[in-house]
Amino acid sequence: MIQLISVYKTYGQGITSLSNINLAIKKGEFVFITGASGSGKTTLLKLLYCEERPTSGQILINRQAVDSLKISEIPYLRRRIGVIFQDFKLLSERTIFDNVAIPLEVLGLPREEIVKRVQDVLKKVRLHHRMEEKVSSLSSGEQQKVAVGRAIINDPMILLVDEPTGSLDSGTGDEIMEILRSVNARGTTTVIATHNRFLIKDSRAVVLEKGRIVS
Amino acid sequence: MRPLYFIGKAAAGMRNAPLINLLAAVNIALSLTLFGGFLVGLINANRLAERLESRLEVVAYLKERISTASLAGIEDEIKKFPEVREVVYISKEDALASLKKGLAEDSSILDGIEGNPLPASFVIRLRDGFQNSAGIKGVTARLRGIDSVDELQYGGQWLEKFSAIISIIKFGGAALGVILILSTMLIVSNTIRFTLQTRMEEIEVMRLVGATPLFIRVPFFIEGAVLGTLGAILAYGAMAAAKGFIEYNLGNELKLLFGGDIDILPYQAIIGLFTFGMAFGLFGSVISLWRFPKA
Repeated sequence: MIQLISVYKTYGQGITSLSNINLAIKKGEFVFITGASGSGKTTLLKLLYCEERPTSGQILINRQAVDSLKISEIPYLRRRIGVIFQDFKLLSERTIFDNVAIPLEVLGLPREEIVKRVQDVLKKVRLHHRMEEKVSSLSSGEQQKVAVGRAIINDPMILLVDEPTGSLDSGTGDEIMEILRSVNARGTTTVIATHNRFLIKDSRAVVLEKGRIVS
Repeated sequence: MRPLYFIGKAAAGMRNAPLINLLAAVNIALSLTLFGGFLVGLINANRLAERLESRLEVVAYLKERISTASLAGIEDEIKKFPEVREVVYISKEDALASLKKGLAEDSSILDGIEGNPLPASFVIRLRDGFQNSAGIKGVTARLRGIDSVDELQYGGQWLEKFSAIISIIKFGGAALGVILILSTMLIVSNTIRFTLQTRMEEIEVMRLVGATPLFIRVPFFIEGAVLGTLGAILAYGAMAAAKGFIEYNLGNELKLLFGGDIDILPYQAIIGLFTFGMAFGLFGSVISLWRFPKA
């Protein structure tokens, strides 16, 4: 499903963020990318949804080379990848419904279809009874759930998650992880970047250190 | 593509920053009013020139004591000029009667004059295409070659000057037009750029969930076109008010000059105003979004 072959990412004047990354993630896998802050976890995720391009090396998703995708093709790749950002990237003055509906609006789905799918997803993240509330009135945990809802609304083939429990208490963190595992159970390849090794349990973990895979 | 979705997005965008959008519309209106005012001036100056040209005639005053046979010969000769459409003979008696009629109750001032001092004349009207200073020049040159013609009267010289002034106005108008077009587009482009800044978060999210650049841009294009149209509506209002003011204060003078054939706000100017307003608004937003957003 995901393959990185000798991937390097260097910024500006020789600041290396990732170095010789070779990684294969199978379809339906639940994988953690872990390491200290600045180890290159977020950069690796950004390479996968084409927010960054590798300095060298090859990245394949479903055997398609995404490192050399034309700019005009990137939006179509992103529609198949759900991303949960560390800072959520929610529109705080919009409602929960509006935020979760954005990917479907981009696809041009009819309004009735959007309403139905948003309601279904909000049930999964247990926010269906509050969908007209503004995001700004929600707690961090609830905002994280909205971000999860937006990321999975389009049944993505890959779900990328950046620090899912970073600012959450352990109870809410567990709840979020449970939702992510249930999404993965339905076949979505899930890649989670975290510095929190306690989340990993018995899943596969790729450890990054100063931009290199160490285990 | 769903037009209603995009229109809704554009409307929401404008609602979010009403003041900045209103200011932009007012700025556009000011530019368009200047531009439109100039256009109206030009259209009416052209009309005036056409009207004056169509009334162009040459009066050839004749020497005294010319026989009827000679008169007929001269008339035939003039009629053969390629520029001439019509020749009307005004006898000495006709000229006096016309003068008396013109003077009306003041005609008594002619009582002291013995005999008829007015000369007979031919009034020569020109064909279409010769009703200009070149046509006048051709006719007058030929008339001067006729012995019995004493003196000529025509409006060619000032007409030539008037045409020159119109040409200068047109040239100046083109230059002013370019400046106004550029400034209007700059205003719209800066406004859209500003609204882009206020909605950066939303654009970022849309981009990251797979919206194409065109999908993100279309509502801004609509906003630009709407701003331009709003500006045109405001400009039209200002010009209509100016029209009322001018007609109220200078109505009689204008009627005298244009003979009732004046339209201070002709439909060409209104169409131009709205077309330019919308087009400038649209192009202004296209310019500001040219390199934005990246994929």
